[in-house]
Amino acid sequence: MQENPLAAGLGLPREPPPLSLVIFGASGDLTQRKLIPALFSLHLKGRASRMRITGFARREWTTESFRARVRAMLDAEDTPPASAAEKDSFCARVDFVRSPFENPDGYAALAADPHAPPNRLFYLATPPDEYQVVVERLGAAGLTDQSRGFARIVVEKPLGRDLASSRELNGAFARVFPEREIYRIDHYLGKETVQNIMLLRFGNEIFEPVWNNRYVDHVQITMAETIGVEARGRYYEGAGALRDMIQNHMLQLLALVAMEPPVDLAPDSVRDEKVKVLKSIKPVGAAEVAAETVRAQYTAGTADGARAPGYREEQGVDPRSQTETYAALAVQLDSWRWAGVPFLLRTGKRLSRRATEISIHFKRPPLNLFGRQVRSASQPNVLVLRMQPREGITLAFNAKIPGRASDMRTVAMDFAYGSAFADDLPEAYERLLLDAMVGDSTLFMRTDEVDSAWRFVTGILEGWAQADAPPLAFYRAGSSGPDEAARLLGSQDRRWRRL
Amino acid sequence: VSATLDPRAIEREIGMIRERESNPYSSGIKTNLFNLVILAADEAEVESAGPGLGHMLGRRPARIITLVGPADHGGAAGREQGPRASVSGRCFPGTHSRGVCFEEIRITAEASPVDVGAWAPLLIRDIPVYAWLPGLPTPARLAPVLEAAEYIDTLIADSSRAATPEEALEALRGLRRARAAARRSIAVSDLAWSRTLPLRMQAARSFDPHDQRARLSSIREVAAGTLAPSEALGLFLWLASRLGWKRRAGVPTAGLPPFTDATGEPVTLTARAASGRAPGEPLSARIRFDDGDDLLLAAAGPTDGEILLAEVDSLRQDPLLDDALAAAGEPA
Repeated sequence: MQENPLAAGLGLPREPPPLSLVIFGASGDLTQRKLIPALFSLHLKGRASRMRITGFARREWTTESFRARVRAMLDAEDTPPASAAEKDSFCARVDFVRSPFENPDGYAALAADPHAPPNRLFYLATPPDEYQVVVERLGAAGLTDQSRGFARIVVEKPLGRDLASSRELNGAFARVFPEREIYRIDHYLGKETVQNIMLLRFGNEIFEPVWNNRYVDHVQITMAETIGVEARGRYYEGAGALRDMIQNHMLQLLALVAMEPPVDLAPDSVRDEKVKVLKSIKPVGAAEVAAETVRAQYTAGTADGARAPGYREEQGVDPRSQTETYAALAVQLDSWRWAGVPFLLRTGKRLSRRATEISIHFKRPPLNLFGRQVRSASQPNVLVLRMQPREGITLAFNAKIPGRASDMRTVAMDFAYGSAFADDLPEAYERLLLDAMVGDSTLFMRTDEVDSAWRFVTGILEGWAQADAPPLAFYRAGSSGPDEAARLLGSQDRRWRRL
Repeated sequence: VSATLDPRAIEREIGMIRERESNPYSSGIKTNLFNLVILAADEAEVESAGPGLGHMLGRRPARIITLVGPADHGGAAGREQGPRASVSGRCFPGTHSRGVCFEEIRITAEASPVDVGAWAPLLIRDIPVYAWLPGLPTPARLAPVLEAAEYIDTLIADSSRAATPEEALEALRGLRRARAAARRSIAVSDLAWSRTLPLRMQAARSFDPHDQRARLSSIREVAAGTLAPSEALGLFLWLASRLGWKRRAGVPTAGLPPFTDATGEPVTLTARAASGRAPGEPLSARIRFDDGDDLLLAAAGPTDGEILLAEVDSLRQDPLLDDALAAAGEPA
C-alpha cells in the first residue's frame, strides 16, 4: 500500500497507541515527583489520550484513595497548572492494584482486566532488588506476550552493582522481554542540553574538524553538586559516586562527546556509535587505580551557605564508611580520533558549586609567535558546554588588549539558552516517557552499553578493593574537591576548571 | 524615547535602554535572535499586530522595527515632513530571571512609504530578517517588500484579510509572484495557511489507516465550515497538490477554476464570502466523498502569536505552501 500522501511534510507529532501503563512502585517518591507530573503534562498536551494508568504497590490503597493521592500531586506547585476539570479527567484514567510484588494474584488481576488496551508499558519505579521478581511474575502471568500488542518495560538505574550483577539482571529481563522492548532509562539523556551535544557537534561544520586528538589537549566532564546525600544515606552507602554518577550519567556524556557521527538518527545507529566509545575505554584495574583515579569523601564544612555535616555524620551512614562521595578519573580512549587525549571526569557531592558541564580544552598554537615579546601569554582555547546551571555554550579565545603592542588576554563568547529561548524546557521524564510509549529507544541504554560501562567501572571497583589501593581521600564540604585530584591532570599546563 | 531618523542616534538610544534594562545579576549580555520589520499602512494595522507581538514578548529577544506609512505615494497631501522615529525597549524576565527583550524602533511617515534606506541600516546584521505585512498582501503592499528583498529572509503575510474567495485567490497568487519576483530568494509564509495546520494534520491522520487510504480518490467536495476564504482555499489547494488534482478550463466557482481528480472526476470547493468564525470558535471544514459521506474536520486554531513564534524559529520555505500556491496557478 502506498504511503499516505497527506502525511508528507506535515511533521505529524508522534502519537502513542492505546496503551496501559502500569507503574510498579506507585507509592514511591519517583512516581510522585517525576512520573505523575510528566504523565499529566503529556495528558494536557493531548499526547496521552488513549492511555490508562495503573498504580501497582503493596500499600493498602484502593483506586479511589490512589486517585485522591494523584489529585493531590496535581495540585502541587511544580505540576503544570491546569483546570480542575483537566485534573479530574486525568485522575479518571488512573486505577490501582494492591499487591506485594511477589504475589502472582496482583499480576493475574492485571492480566484479567478486560478493558486493558492491547499495548502494555510496565514502569519499574521500585527498589532495584524488586526488579527480578516483578519481571518474572509479569512473564508467568502472560503479560509479556507480544502477540496482541507490545509489552514493554522501562527500568531505572541502578542496573546492578557491578558487571556480574548487571548481567544477571539483564539476563532476567531478556528471559521475558526482547531487547527491543527493554527501555533502560537514564534521565540525563532526556535533558534538552544533553541532546544538544549531538546537534552542536553534527549540526555545525566548524566544530567537527577540530574535534580530535590533533587539536584537543584534553576534555573535562564535571558533575558537581552542592547537596549531600540528603535522606539517601543508606542507599548511597551501597553505591558511592562511581556507581551513582559515573557508571551511567558521566559515561553517557563521554560517549556523546566522543562518538563518531552516526549514519542516521535511528536508535541503533546512535547507540552503535556510543557503544564503540564505551568499548574503546582503556581498562583501569588494580595496577592503574593509583595513577588514574581519585576517590574521596566530604568532611564537615560550609556548603550552599549553611553548615554541612561530614558524610560520616549523615543519617543512615556508617561512621567508618569508606564510600566515596567524590570520584575523579583520567580516562583514555583507544581510538583513532582520541588516542592520547585524556578525558578527565569528576563528580562529587557537597562541592562549592553546582555545575554540570563538558569542557573541550584545545592545544596551544604550534608556534608561540607572541609569547616572546608580550607580558601576557596566550591561554588555550576552551569550549564549554554547560548543562546546568545557565545552560549554554562559551568559547574562550585570545584577543589583543587595545593599545598595547601585542599583549593579549582571554575573552569569552557566551551563549545562554535562557537569554535566547525563554521557553519552559520539558522535563526529561516527559520526553522519555513519550519516547517509550511511541517506541523510540534512542535515548535509552542498550544492554551492550550498560555492559561496557559496567566492565570499565567494575575494574576500578576491584582495584579500589585491593589492599594496596590508595586510601580514601577527604575534602571539606564546600570546597572544590580533594587536592589529590590534581595528580590526574598529567601536565603542569592543565588544571581543573574552577568550580 | 524619541530620536531623529539618524541610525547612530537611534543606536545610541537603544544602547542606553539596554544599559538600563540590564539585569545586574546576569552577564549583561543581550542576545537578539532576529529582526522583525512590520510594514503597517496605518495605526489600525499596528494595533492588529499587537497581540501577535505580545505573544512573542518575553519568549524571543528581537529587534522590532515598525514602519507606519501609506503603501504608496498618495498619502496625506501637503505633509512634507520627513519620517520620525521613536525608540523603546520592553523586557520580561525569561527563564531563570534573565531579561528577554524587544528593542523597538518605530518609524512613522505620513506622505509616502518609509524608504528602505531609512530602516535597513537599523537592522542587526548577521541575524535573520522577517518582514511582517499585517494587511492584505496586495501588489501595492508587496512592492516595498520586493524592493527591500535583499534585506529580507522571510515575508510573513496574512491572506485571511481577503474578504472574498476571489480576493483570497489573488492574494495567494500574489505571494507566489512575490516569491518568484524577488531579486534575492526569500521565504514566504502565510498566517492563514499556518492557521489551518491542525486541520491538515487531522485530515492526514484520518487517512492514515490503510483501509481509509482508498477514500482519498473519492473526495468530491471541500466545504469551508468556519474557515475564512483564504484558509479554505489553502486547505483545498493543499489537497489538490498532494492528491494530484488538476485545474481544468471552465467557469470558476468560488473564484477557483474547476478541478478534477486523478480519475477525471470533478472536485469542488465551497467557500463563503467571509469567515463565519466567532472569536475562540474552532476551525472547521468538511470533506465530502462520492458516496455522500462527510469527514468533519474541527480543531482549535493557533493564535497569530503562536504562529508568529513558530515562523520566527524557522528560515525554511514550507514546500507544502509552495506546492499549494503552485496549484493555485495563474488566470488563463
